[in-house]
Amino acid sequence: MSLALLLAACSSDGPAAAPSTGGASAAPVATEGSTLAIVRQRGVLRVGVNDQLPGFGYIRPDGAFAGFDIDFGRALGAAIFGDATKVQFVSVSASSRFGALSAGEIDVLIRNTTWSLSRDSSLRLTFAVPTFYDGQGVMVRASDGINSLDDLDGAVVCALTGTTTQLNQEDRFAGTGVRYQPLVFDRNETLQEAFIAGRCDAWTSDKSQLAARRAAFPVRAGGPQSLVILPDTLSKEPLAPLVRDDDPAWADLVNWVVLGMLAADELGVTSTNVEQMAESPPSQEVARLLGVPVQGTVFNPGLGVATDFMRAVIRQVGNYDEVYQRNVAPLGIPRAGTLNASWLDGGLMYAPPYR
Amino acid sequence: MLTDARRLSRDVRVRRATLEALTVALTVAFVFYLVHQARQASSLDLGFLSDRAGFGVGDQFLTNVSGNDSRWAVYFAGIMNTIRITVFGMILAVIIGLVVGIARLSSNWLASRLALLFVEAIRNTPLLPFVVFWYTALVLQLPHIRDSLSLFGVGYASNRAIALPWARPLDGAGTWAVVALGAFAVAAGVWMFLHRYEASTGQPSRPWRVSLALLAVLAGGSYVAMGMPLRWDTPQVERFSYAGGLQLSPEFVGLLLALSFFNGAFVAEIVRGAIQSVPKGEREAAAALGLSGWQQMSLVVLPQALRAMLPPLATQCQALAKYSAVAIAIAFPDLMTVGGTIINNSGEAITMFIVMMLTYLLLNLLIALLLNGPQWRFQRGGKRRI
Repeated sequence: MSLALLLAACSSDGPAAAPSTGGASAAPVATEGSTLAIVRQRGVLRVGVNDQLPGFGYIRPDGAFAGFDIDFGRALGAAIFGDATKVQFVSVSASSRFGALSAGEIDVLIRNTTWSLSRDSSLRLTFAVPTFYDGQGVMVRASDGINSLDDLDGAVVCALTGTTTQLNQEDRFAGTGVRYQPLVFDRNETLQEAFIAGRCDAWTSDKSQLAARRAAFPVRAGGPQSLVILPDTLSKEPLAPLVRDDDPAWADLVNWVVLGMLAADELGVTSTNVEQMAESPPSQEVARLLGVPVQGTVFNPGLGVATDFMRAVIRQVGNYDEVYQRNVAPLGIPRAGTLNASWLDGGLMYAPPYR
Repeated sequence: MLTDARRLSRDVRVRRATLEALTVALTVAFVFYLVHQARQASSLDLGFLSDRAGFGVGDQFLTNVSGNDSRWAVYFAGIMNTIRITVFGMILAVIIGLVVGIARLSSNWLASRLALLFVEAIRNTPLLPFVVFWYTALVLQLPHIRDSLSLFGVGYASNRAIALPWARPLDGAGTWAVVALGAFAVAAGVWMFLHRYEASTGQPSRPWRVSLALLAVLAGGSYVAMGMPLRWDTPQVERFSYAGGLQLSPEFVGLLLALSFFNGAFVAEIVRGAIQSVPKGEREAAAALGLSGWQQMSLVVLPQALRAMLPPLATQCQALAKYSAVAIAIAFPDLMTVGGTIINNSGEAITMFIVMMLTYLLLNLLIALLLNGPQWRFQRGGKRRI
């Protein structure tokens, strides 16, 4: 281990894109004392996550963590260790999450956290690229005949306290001249009871949250199919992983694992065809992404991890679309037509060139 | 030297002074530490309360604020809601407490056992689940607004609101209100005069009948003469809400009922204790004079029990004001709910919590002032009579 670190320390000064003729796993590059070196030494990556948001970060009945955010944590584990199971998930609350990251309890925070200016500037943390473009939405009963925000004039809108949703709501409704009555609860259970009883006509929160609540809506009250999430989006809530801002190389790695999964999606590389594509890459881009030699040389990503780290990520976790379809689509939020679609399909998901 | 020091250390006055100095020093140090910590974490600047609120209050009492008003204005609407729940909650709690407290001492076995069950069941239940139960299991189970219950054709009840007919003021209502107030003052003066006259001469002069008739004639006459400036406004069912009339939100009704019954149980115990504190001989003497059971209670026992009741009632009222902070659990926009939203939007947690605590402190001092005022009067009166 110390030899590897020594080697790592020496070669980190070398040119970033130094050609390497090594096979699948080139010598890992990591500066001593860097986050990557600490994680390697520990042998396990610590990821701060949510444990109660179905679809994004939750604990399955068998006790294992699962969800969209969880899969990005596993992808990071696969990138660093070549093994997606070398990840320890740490449940952090909405209020303790930033402190846990600052204090070094966790190496990266992937917990449906909105990227905003004040968080970015004031917390000494830095945001990676968004994994999910969320936004505040409104959920109504399908039987009420409400099709857009304009139909909500005079309606009672329930929200949870502790979020900025109330502000967004006020700004948006004031802009359209629609009157509404706010009803602010501090507990989700009471809010749901009030909604079921018909006390409020609409339920507002982040769309991902609404979708999760809709999926778990009790059958006695009509089940998920009795609810509709309106197409209107009242605010921008880009959810992104967070790292400390003292280690830009670590931020680069987190960024490029996400971007690599997006690139794989654009190139059509999936967990089922990744080995076949590695055998005979259809293009130079695919070869670079999977760390396969092109004309005898292997492209070195220069991130301090194995040159073929994306091959492990895709084989063990999948590309962006697979992660989305596995976790978010079952909640009733299809990817097509939303901001989370690939830029090729009119969405915002875009990977810079992998070269 | 040594014996001097020993003598000093054994001197009671020296020991007392040392202890007092130590207490003062520790208290001052603790307060300084608290202020220092608060200043470390927050600027303690109230400027953020002048910013635009950005959120409205759904259920308001005597205020009319919107998201475009300042945070101060929205917070004030929250304070008014806390005052509303405290005042009406206390009135109901006293009524419930009087009935249950008297029933508890009743010779009727069923009445006293039921009262005991009520008091013990409530006193041994925490408030929060009690409030959430009243709201979700009772008030929210009212029908949907589409299937509103009709209240004798003039009002409606659903889990959207309880809508009652209400007098809506037209032009000239303010002037008439002043006239009516004057009529009330005149009637009260006549009542006092006749009451004293009756007490001093023994001549039956019917103070109640005369003063009420006077009030009806003066207020009713001026009402008709001024062109009936109040209109009876009955609510109408709309798609999402009711229009017109007096509307009570389910959150207000749920919290009001829960707090009234909860505090009513404690008031019942206060009433019971106060009644039992009146010497048995008083009641026996009243019975010997031939007063009925109700007359013994209302003319002899209760007036004396009232003196013993007032100080604990004032304390209970202050408790109710503080208990009302559970409003946030059922979305009633009291000062804690509104203050909480201001904290979320501004991030000024420490400053806002200090403001909220000071508000409760001021409200409770006000309650003490209002309820302890009559208490002194009663006690002096009591002493004079004895």
